[in-house]
Amino acid sequence: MSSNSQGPDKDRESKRAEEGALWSIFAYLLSGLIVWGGIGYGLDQWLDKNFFTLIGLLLGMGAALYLVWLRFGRK
Amino acid sequence: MGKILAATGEGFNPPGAKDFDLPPFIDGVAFATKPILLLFLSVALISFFFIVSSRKAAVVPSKLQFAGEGVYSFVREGLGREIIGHDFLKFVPYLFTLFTFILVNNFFGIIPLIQFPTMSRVSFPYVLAVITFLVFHYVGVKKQGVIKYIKEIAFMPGVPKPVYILLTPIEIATFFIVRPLTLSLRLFANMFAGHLLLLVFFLGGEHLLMGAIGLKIVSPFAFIIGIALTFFEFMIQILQAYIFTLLTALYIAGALADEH
Amino acid sequence: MDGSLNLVGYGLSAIGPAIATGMIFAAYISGVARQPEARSVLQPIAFLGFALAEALALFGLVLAFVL
Repeated sequence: MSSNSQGPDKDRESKRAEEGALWSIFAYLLSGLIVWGGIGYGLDQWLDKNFFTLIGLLLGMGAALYLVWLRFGRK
Repeated sequence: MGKILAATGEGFNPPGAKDFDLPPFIDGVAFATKPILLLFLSVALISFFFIVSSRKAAVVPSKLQFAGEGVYSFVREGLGREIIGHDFLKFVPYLFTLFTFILVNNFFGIIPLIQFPTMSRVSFPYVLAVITFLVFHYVGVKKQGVIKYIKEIAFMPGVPKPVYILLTPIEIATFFIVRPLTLSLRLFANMFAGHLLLLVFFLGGEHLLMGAIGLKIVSPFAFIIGIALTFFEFMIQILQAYIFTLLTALYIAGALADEH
Repeated sequence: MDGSLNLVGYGLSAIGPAIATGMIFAAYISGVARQPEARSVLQPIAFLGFALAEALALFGLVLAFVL
């Protein structure tokens, strides 16, 4: 974010990331479930099956966890 | 318990969502309801307080000036400078307005005789979240341009191309739907549930007091717990006003940041 | 009384992730308190642990509505 990476500035930055990250993680997981679970639910209604919702939920959760790892896990 | 209550003749009417449905107090005028009145009252109170506290600004502050400046510097230093970083000064008016507005409207929930948190009607938090939504997207677009901003939101760097099919819908949904929705629903749900909790204990205590002799003895406990919960609510109200402002500041900071 | 048993089930299933989140951050806080310079190492681990625990809670929430 800021160009200079001195000690206190970096510390403050990591604290700032901490406060934001928890809410972002929650939002990512929730929207992963909603988006892909919703797509699965729509497929279920359309094709008259009953397993797409479950697949969609699992896929969405997996994708959201991957996204969380990309954004916050790798340093 | 149910048997004793039934013996007193009238059932307890538990508080619910209907208690938040206040009809207009002037017939035919849809806008003359208690929450809207409280909204205007809060604006008047905030303006009055900060005008009075800053009118006779002195180097050695009076108590009133000290209180006003305390709130201001809390928002400016704790939320503006700490989170948004440099360039924070132009967002301080918005953050400060948001914080004091939500705080006073939440306090209405426990002030005697008023006792209705405005934010427990869901449309008020919705509007606040929409304003925040517009502000942080506007800031991001202005800083980076439309295409670069959308690209930064939707496409994480360092991922093989096919995975974008999986990830991009989630990112888009997060930034444009889930963020404002959770922002407003968090405030609404806390205020709604808190008010309902107080209603349960005070109305329940009143009902116990009207009941049989055995119930009269238990009723003070309901009131004591209710009073304790009022102080708890006071804490929650400050916390929720803080969290709403904090998240607004974090979203603005995220939109301003060049890259992740 | 009316309501859905699904929501009771969700309430029960939320206990686990709640305890897990508490334990994750308890460990993270005491780790950083003992060794402040380890913050940058511990932070991603704590966030990933939080995400995994939270995933279960959200699964419960969604399944309470879907099933």
